[in-house]
Amino acid sequence: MIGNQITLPTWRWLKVNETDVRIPSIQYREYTCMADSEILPSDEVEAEINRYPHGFSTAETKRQTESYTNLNYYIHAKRGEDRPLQKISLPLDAQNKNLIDKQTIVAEPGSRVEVLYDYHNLDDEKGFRNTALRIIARENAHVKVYLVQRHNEQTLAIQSVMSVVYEHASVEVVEVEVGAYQTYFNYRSSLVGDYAKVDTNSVYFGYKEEGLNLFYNFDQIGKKTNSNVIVKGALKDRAHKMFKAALDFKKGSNGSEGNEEEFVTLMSENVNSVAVPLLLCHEDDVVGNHASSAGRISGDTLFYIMSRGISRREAEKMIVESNLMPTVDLIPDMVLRKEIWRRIEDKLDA
Amino acid sequence: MQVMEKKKTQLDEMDRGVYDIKNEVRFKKKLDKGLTEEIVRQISAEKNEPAWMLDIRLKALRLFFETENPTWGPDLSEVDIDNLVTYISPDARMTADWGEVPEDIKGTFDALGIPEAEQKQSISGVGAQYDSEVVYHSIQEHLAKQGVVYLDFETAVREYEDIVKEYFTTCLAPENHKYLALHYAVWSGGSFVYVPAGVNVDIPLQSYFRMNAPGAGQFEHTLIIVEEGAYCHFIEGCSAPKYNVVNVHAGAVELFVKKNATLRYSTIENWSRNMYNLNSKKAVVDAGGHIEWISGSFGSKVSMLYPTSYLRGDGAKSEFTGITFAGPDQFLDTGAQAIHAAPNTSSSVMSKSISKNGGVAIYRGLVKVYPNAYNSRSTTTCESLMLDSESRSDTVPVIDIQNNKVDLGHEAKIGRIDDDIIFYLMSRGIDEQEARSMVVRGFAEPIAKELPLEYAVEMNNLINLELEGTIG
Repeated sequence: MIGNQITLPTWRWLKVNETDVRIPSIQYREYTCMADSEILPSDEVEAEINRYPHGFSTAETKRQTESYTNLNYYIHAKRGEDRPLQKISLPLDAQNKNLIDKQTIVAEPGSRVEVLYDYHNLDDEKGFRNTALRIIARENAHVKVYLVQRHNEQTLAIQSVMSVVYEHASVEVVEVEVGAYQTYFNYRSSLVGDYAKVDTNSVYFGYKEEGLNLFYNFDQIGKKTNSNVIVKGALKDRAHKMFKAALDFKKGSNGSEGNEEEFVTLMSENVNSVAVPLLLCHEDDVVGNHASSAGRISGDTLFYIMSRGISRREAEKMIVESNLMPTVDLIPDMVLRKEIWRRIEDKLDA
Repeated sequence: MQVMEKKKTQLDEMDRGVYDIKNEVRFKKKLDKGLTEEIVRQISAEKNEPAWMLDIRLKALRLFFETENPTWGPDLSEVDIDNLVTYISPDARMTADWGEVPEDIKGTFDALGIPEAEQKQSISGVGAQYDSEVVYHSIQEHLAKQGVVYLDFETAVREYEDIVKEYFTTCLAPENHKYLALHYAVWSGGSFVYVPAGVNVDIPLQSYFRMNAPGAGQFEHTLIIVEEGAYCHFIEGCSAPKYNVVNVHAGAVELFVKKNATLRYSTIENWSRNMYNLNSKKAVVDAGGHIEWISGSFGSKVSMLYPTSYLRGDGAKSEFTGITFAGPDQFLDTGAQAIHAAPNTSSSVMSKSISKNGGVAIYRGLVKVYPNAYNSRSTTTCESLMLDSESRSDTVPVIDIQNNKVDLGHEAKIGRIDDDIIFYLMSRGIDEQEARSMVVRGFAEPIAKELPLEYAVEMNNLINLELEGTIG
């Protein structure tokens, strides 16, 4: 299926306009590690979600959710409710090779929601996951979501995230991608209300032949909206990454601001790093910034650390750690943070 | 502090002054509208060219009909080849004596300041193309004595056939895109420059392309070869008066920068607002060579122009400095490509765009670093200034890195004129309109300072012309 299409296509020979997402053919199988929530999103909520762009491609999202979804989980924060952090562990194993989950968060006006999704494997079985996370943050609501992907190397992970953000509401996403042989990530946010705010902090580490295809599209519609996306990562061996992002300032989004930043450390000579950072602007009274950098570990920094008696490998680790750790540190679970860092260290040492 | 009222811009059809001089269309030869094999053969026969050139034309013609329009970028559906005259030869013969150029054509070029610059010796060679043919070509004697060749392209095909044949289409292939195929099918006019090894052409050479006939296309071919260790600065100017029918400009610029040579290629383009400017430019740079692009895009209805630097030699270097100014009904899709295909190569891009009154300015860029291009460096800076909310400004860069020994940076910024700056300037007694103009001129300054004085003045005039009555 075709997915992660950029809003404004460019030269065809570069093959960046869209991504061919190869999904395995699967059959419906029950997911036994977690049950559906007792209450599911109402038709009105579904209709509201469907009014906004989301997912890799509309037809595919529809097919997937209609036919194969084996987990449907809904978190609903009532008006003014302040919900404590909720941790959701979603493993794959020999019995649960496929997880096609639909996650929905609706935060009513003035509420606070914080959810941590931990996607991982319990064994070395080949797995497939296709997740759709839908978030509605109504007036003055604040939603914080942590998405940890630490699958085994035999797993394919597809994650679609959508958020609709109303007046004075905010949605913060922390994304960690340290597993899976192939990761497709698609995040579309519609900042419809005035003063809506969206923050995204992502971190990834790719090694061997791993592939990462990351896509972020923020439609800034309301006035004085604010969006930030910061993506940091490292690539090693023959890993390849494609980062596509668009800040789309729609007409009428006066006073809005947006920042997209991407930093990648390239650790081996056969890596491939592609970045397509779009800034689209239909309004003069906005500020849009983009910065990206890519490169090897600075020789000077390495030399300095090594001159203090630290081995090259340790020194490289320290530098990568200093780049990635601030984002990993946002995960509100110490055990999980350690586990993520162990995965990164294993990859560094491999 | 009193909040300043945000004033919106207004613009009526402005007087483009000398650029809008329309001469009566007198021609020696004008082929029928449309594009057929017969027309291509007629152009070739008119030019009395060798058979290999006709073969290239016919092959390109087939490619043109087989190739689709791009699926991205501006809408090109208005470009109807059946309604376009691809070849129109002015009623003048090529001359090296300015006095022999027909009065009306001479008057236009005089008004544009072309011969004046030559007389003042601020340029060392001049070519002037009027519609499909070059009407005037000259070069200073001391350069000719050192072996520098500066000719109109037809003459070069006859007099330097071996060189032209060796290089023609090797930098830009007709297969690249539809309008390059069109170019190779019907090319006419243009310049040929050959700078022998070690020669320093210190004063720029200049070609000026003027379209006078409505509903016509201009398809000039420029081929520049700068041999080892040589230096050359080439300036290209383009303009046309406004008509109500579509004109098309699909030129091709092939540049070869040899070992340790430097070429500076400057363009000030001010086509009228009925022009589809579908131009292609590429430089192939050998070891230690250096290409510098300076580009100002002001005119045309639609532009698609992305000068490409193909850095194929160790230590080759490219610099691109460009400004795009999109006004009402303009869709200017411009940018630059840098392809690092050898070790130790470096590229830098500085792009600025201004859009106002519904104009669309798009920066489309590419930096590609091949696996063998170790120790490559690249920096890109894009800045877009929006003067009102009717306009559009998009940035579409692609960065593709295929090895780890690179240092790459990319920055882009979109925004409006900062009210604090205007307030500050106004508090110093400068009126608002002048303050805004100052900010815009300051924004364009890094480009202006790269140009020879006359051109910097012309660019500032163009900016003033564009801003006149629009801000305040």
